Amino acid sequence: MLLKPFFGCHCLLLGIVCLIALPIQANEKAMIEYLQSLDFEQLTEMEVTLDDVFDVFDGLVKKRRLTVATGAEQSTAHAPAVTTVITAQDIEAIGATDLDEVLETVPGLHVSRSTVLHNPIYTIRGIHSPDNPEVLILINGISTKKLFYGNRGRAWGGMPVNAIARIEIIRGPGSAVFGADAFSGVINIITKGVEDIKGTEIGMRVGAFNTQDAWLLHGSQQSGFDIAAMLEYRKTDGHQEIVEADGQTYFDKVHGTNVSYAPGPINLSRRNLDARLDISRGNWQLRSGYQGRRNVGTGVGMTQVLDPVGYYEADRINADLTYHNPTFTKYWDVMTQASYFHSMLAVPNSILYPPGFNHAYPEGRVLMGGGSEEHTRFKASGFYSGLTNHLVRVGVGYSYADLYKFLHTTNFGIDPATGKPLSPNNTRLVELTDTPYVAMRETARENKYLFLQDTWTINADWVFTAGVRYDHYSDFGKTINPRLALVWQTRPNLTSKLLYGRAFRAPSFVNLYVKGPVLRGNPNLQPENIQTWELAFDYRATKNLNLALNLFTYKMDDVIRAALDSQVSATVQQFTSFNAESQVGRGLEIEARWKLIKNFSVLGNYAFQESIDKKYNHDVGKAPQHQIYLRSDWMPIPNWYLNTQINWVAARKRPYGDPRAELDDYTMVDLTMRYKKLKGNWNFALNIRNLFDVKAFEPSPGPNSSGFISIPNDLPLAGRHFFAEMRYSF
Amino acid sequence: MNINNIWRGSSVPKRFFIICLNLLLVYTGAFAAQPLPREYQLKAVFLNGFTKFIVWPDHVFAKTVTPLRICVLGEHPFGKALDIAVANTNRRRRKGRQIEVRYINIIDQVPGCHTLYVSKSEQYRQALILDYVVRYPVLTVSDIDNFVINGGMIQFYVLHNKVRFLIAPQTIRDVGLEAHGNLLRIADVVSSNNR
Repeated sequence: MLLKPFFGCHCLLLGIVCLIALPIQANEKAMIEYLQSLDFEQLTEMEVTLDDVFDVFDGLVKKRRLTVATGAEQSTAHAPAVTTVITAQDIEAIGATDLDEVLETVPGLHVSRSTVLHNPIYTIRGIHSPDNPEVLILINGISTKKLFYGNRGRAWGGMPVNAIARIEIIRGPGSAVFGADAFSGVINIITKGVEDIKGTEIGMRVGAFNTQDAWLLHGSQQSGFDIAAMLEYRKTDGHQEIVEADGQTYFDKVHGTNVSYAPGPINLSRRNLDARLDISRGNWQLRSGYQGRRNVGTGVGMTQVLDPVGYYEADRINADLTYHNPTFTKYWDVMTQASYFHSMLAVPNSILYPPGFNHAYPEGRVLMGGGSEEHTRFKASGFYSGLTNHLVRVGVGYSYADLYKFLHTTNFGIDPATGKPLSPNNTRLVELTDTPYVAMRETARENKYLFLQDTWTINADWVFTAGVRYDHYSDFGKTINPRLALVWQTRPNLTSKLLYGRAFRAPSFVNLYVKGPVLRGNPNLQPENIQTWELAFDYRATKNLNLALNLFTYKMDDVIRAALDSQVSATVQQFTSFNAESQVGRGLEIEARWKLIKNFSVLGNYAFQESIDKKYNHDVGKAPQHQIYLRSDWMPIPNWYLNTQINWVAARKRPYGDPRAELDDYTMVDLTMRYKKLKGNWNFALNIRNLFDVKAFEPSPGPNSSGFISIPNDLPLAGRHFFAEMRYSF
Repeated sequence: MNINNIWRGSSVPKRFFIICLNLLLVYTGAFAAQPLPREYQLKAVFLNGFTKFIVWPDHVFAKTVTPLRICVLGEHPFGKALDIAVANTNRRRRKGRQIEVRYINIIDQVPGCHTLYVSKSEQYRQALILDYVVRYPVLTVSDIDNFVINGGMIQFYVLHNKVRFLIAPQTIRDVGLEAHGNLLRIADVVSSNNR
């Protein structure tokens, strides 16, 4: 019933467009005939539209290529995984300014929100957790994971998209290729190189919430070196939607105080600086990057208590030196890489509970500190093509990751000087760093691995890929993760795939070692694992219509969750991480990409998932069971592009024990109008997001161990907002 | 809120906007810019056209009516462009040898081909393919970087939005083929590492 008018409205539109659609092939025939009337000399002087230029209409339906599935370049139709490729062209067309806006377009992937700094939770096929360590984010094939939470870090602060050439996404397991945390999915962000920039581009954007962006991209050849340099800056106050009640609202009722900042705005301000430099020559490539985050607002507060003054800071630095020789020997394509990643998180100010909490704490309960990690990695891999109909890949690697600094300063808890609890009226900050009372120990982790993969072309129609990866970790031991894929060219325009994969998530240092007042780590934890079966079809119905269907089922085991520790006294509730629950899920994704006429194309996808928490035999909740995404691109007059997006998020149930009603569904509509000349210097855009100013929310956590819900009305998303953008290339 | 509610609960201006948007979406085409040929269309025309400039030994054709086969190995970018180009040529060439296009996936299908286009999807198997095909009088063409250096015969490249090609005449001669002088005149002539 819900879908009826939805399809009624839009199918009518599509029907009308079909009726007037021009026969595209007739144009192609005429063009080919014309070209054949010329001689070769004239043809070599003929200027062409390159296949990869800004043509969103062709770009949407043509075969997309990726490397993330096996390491070798192949099309999404034939890759032994369920994949999506999003190009810079798509990003520009939909007017996305941050990675989150791009990923929301992927079937089966929904970007939810965490109470921790409003960080994104990339929920893939119903797998949802507050810290979201089960999705592996790579930048140029190198992990951005941190030891602490096993995720992208608390002060992630978003990722701008101007420097992104394309994003390759695997929905499903990827541990046989990438190892840890390629669990529910892999997102590989490939930054622009010289071939993508070709000159210099400067851009500026201003928008709602006092948002200002500026960027500079440059690509050139200097003294035989290919050089690509990218600089992006963003400053924003964030959307400041109102949170009606928070955890302190509850405590105010219990304690008879009135100190909560709720109702009050969510704190989403931040300043970002992203810089990348990519230098290559011959077989060598040196890449480096910096992501600085300042004044990162605390969202709804670290303890789900609004904190309008707290903020976080982060510095992330990466560098890698890569040698890739496709013809190292006649049959060997070899790649070696050394990489380094340094991450610093600082919490200069954070108020966990406001001044006057429980008639005490005149300056509030304050937490300050931070942590620093460094990751050093080496890997070598090669493709061997000397066996007829086989392409073998082998690789080895080593990584050393060190949480070498953890800072912890507070004004509550135990005084390390006396070993006794601090007074509730204490105003003095005490340093817990390097004392027995610090929440996290400084320690390191080593990982050694090797992998083997064979792609066997059985005959003209069948390709079988088998891979396995062995990982050894210094803390939790070994794990072996295989994958199998049978790809059948059923008909010239239909590809069918049967896929199996096993993946694991390494316990984070919080899971293993944290020693907080409420949560304790468990050094005996084993990795979470998941087994997934997928059946996928890719059907090129016509030259301009591509359809895909994916069916999946998965089973997660040894899921790491915090559980009440029975060994602690009844008066002090303390939780410890355990491998316990299992989760099963199933679902499907349907995709369609259609170029209706030469200047109008549509893309649509529908995703369904049902995921069950086996402990309670109850829906895991929070993730949408249904999602529909529709996108149209249209060029009404030359050089003017109009993009429309409609995103429907529905049926987000509550997890077991959360008595609240199901979250309201929402439909958001975004519009982007762009003026761009293929050979011009200027590029202007106007974007409106959430055009109809829909009130939308993402789920907040359910009742805590004391039975109350800190943010009962869920986490608000931005209302209608806009930006205007200008780019100049030379 | 869902799309249903957007429509039903919309005010008149909002409904007007939606209708206008839809009408705009169907009003199309007339102003589209005169297109340039696409890169893949030009490459398809070249690939078909090479057959005019190469002489194969007579023994490779079993009969006078045996077609000249252009084989495309792996995933290719041509869409229908190559088929259209070949059909045009065959239509004009009422007499004489017809051309046939075959799309193949494994190198075992190469015997019987006269021209072999090696797709970029096969770049990891390039050496094996070239080793295999060197036994046959087959013209090899590709977009893969360093294709002619590694033993291929013709390699497309793009310079200033124009499609050009490199040619390795000695590699062509080595398998018993002969390239017409006019082809060599407009191509960039190189020699293979394998020489």
